[in-house]
Amino acid sequence: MTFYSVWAHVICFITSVSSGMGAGGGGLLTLYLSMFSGVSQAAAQGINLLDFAFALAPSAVVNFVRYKPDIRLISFLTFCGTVGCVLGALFSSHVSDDALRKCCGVFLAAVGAVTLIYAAKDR
Amino acid sequence: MLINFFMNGVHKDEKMLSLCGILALFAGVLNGFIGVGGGVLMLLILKIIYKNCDKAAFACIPAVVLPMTVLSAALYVIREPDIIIKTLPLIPAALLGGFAGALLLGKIKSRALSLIFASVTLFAGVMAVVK
Repeated sequence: MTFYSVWAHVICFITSVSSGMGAGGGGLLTLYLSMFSGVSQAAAQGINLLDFAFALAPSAVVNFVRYKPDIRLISFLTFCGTVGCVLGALFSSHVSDDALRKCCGVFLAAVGAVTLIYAAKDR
Repeated sequence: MLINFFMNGVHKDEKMLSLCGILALFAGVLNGFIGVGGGVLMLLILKIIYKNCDKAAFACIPAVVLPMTVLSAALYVIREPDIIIKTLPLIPAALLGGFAGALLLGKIKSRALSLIFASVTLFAGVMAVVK
C-alpha cells in the first residue's frame, strides 16, 4: 500500500469537489503527485485519471437523472473521444517523463491563463 | 456516415458536428497523452453545439468525459499495473469530493471557485515547466 501526505488527500478531495461541479482543476493532483510525492509523471497521470473517474461518477449519475442529456450526441462525442484516448495513450508511452510533465505544465498554464482572462472580461 | 450512424438525422448541421467530432478526437488525445484536458475541450465543444447554453453543456460533460477517463485510466493501468495500488488510498477522498461536487452542482456559483483554480493551475503549470 502506498501512503501519501495529508496534502495529497486534501488536494484530491478539493479537485474532486471542483471536478464534480464542472469548475476544473483536475490536473493539479497530477502535478502534486509528480512534483512532491515521488511518483513518476506517467503513474501520476494514471492515478489522477482513476481518481477522476471515481469523482466524476456521482455527477454523471446526478446529471443524467436531473437533465436527461441527448444520448445520441453523447455517444457520438464519446466515440470520437475514446478513439483519441487510445492514440494519446499510445503516443505518451514513447515520451519521457520529463517531457510529459512539461507538456502537462504548458497545457495547465495555458488553461489557467485563458480562464483568468475570460473571468476578468466577464466581470 | 459516422455522424448519420450516431445522430440518425436528429442534429442537421453536419459541418458543425464534424468540427465537434474532430475536437472531441483531439480532447481524447489530450486525455490519453497528458491525463488532463479532456473536460475543458469537451465543455468548449458542447458550448458550440448548445450555442453557449451552459446548463445543457454542463449536463452532458460528465457523461462524455467519464468513458474517456475510464478508458485512458485502463490504458495507463495496462502499462503500469502498480497504479491501482497507488490509487487506492486516494479513492475515499475522490468519492467524497465527487459526491460533494454533485450535490453542490447548480447550488453555488462556481465562478469564484473557477477563479481560484485558474490561478492555482496557472502557478502549478509554470512551476512544472520551470522545475
